[in-house]
Amino acid sequence: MVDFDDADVSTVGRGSTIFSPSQLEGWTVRTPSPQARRWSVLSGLAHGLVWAFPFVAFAFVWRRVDGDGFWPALIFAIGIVFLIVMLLKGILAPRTWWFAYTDRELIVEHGILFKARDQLSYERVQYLERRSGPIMRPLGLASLAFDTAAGRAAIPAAVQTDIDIIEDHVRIAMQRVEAL
Amino acid sequence: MSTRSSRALIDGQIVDSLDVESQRLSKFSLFWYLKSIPELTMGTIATLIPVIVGAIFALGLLIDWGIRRSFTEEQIETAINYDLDSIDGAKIEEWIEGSAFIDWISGVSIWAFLVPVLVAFTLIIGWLVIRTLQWRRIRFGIEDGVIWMTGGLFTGWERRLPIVHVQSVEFRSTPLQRVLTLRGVAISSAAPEGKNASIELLAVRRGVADELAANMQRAFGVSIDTPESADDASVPIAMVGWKDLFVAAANSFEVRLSVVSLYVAYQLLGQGPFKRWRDQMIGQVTKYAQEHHDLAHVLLILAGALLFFWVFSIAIYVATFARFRLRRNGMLAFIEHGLLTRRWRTVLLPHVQALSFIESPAQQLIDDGSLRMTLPGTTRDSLERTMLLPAVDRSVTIDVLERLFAEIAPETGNALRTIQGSLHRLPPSARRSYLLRWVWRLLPVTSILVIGMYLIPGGLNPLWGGLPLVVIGAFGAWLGNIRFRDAGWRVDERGVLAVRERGLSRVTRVARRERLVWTRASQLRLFAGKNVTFVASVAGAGARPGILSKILGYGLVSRSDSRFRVRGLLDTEAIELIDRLGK
Repeated sequence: MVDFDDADVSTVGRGSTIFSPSQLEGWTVRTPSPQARRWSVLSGLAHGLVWAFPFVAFAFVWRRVDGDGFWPALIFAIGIVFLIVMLLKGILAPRTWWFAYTDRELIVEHGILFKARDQLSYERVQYLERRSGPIMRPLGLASLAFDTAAGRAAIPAAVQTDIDIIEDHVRIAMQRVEAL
Repeated sequence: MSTRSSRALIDGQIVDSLDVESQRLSKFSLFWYLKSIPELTMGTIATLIPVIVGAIFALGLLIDWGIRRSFTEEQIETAINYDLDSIDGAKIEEWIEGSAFIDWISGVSIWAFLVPVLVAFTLIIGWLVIRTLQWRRIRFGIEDGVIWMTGGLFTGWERRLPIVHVQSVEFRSTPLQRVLTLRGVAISSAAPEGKNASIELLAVRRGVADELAANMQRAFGVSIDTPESADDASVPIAMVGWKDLFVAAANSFEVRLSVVSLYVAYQLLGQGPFKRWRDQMIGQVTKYAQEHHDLAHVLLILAGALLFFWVFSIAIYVATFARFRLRRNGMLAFIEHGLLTRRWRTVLLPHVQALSFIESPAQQLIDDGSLRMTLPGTTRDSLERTMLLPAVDRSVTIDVLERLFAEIAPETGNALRTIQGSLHRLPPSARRSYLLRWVWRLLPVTSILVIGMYLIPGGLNPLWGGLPLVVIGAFGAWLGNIRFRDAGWRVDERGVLAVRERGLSRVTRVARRERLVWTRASQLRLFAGKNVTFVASVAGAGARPGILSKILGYGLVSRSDSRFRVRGLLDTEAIELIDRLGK
């Protein structure tokens, strides 16, 4: 098993106690592992670069054609702001989310400005999607998206063993709904 | 849950045996088809944009080539450097009178005039021909219990909608269609992609519509609502009076509807003798606006436009929902409404996820409200599809619901009956956030305004920048206090969740807990107390996260009509509520 940060679970949610996973008895609680944190920062950086690239490139071309001026600098700054925001999000996100599951239900807490604790039963899942990008794969991580009739919930990153367990639970629940 | 009830509703064997021969739309439907704008998918738009840009670019190149071919370098040079300011009336007269222009024009090949006209002509004819051929390709029918529809000229498409997944059936007829004995048919499923997931037949002959209706009737085991159906078996539930309807319409300030209706009015008035009058009026309005553009007049014009839109949206609302009749036959609800375009809708009641009782301020004065239902795949945008009763008296609402859901969910009416007394109210600690909501919202703008006015002195005291905050903040606090007093929730012993919330109208939503798809508790990460926001959603039109939530975080989103929300309840109460709903 990969090491989880179970020890400092209680410090994750501040403010209201319901946003702390420490009181969940009978639930398997997972906070972001070191790999997940590393992935989050790296993917923040990658997203930031992708968003910043067109602005920065455009600014450089403009500067080359038109010389120094206010507008190229502004566009360059917008690109850099994107980079910083995405990177910050990547750094902050793993401090904000955790998830917990049983064999019937799932809780995901997420959100940087607002913290939201979503609870949903596997029976409501209509479509399940596992994704693992080029940064995630070497770290042994994958993300899970649960599509319901009223929107989509997601686990941003989890290790393979958890993913397998949750996918099994969801499949069993889907069959149970079918049998009704 | 819905799977279970739809099994009971529809007999699989009968459904499988249903068949309707392949049919074409009525010949007259070409009129409506040519009038309609084709559905634009993202793919089409992505193709069209480069084509249009390329066409404009090619046209520019062509004109450039023509100019260079017919004029010398020097002539072009003089034309470019021509002093445009020196043109006056005398010069223009001289040009018109002189023979140079006539000589030049008569020297130009006739093709220079013919080609653009021919191209435009070909484009228009081509468009009409392609649309007509597309229309000719449309076929529909029922095969082994699946309603199908095919078409497509360049790309063939086929839609297949199993009758088991049908959620509502609608027949409609405009006055013109009534004269031609035609019917429009729309059969919709639960998928949120509205148009793409439903079978919409613009106009079919009455006999064909009857045949379709007969097949649906066999599938559902009862007669469904068509203009021709005999009204013996169904139980009348409610009708809507004119006064109640107008009061309900008073709050229907739908800008989207108004814009569409304005366009329709513009088109209608463009026909025959009205055209001159219409153009004169537009001319007068623009002239007035040009002559008076000081602040007072701009405000006056804005107020006039708002009033105009308001009256218009009332008229549209009344025309849409006039002569409303609600009936029931077993598990089907029959809804019939419309003044000009008449609609006969059949809704499968077991598919109704939640009910909303909406009391607008105007309706509250006369103790009225509107009843709306949440069906999977509908949003607030599809007002028509979710309307159960546009106006109903508070005192009879419970009775209406009880009769409507007599066999399916007898407790539905009861859930509303006891709501007044037993609704859990919000704790006093929530009042502050309700009162200060608009203050927090306006704070960033106000601070920017004040700092801006301080840095860029314009003769005004920078403190004036706080005026919007004071005015709107006070109004917001007043409204917030009302919202705070109205908000509440309850779960009764049968597991029916009722939630009351006020935006401008007071909305009471009711659903059984088995219908809830997910629940959420949320609060601000910083400066948060013990109060949280609780949201639960039934199957509705779930929306994918937008750009903002993509940047700021993941999460479930639901559109307003499928959302049960309580702002400001205590965290422990929220957890207890979530636990009770989960069981």
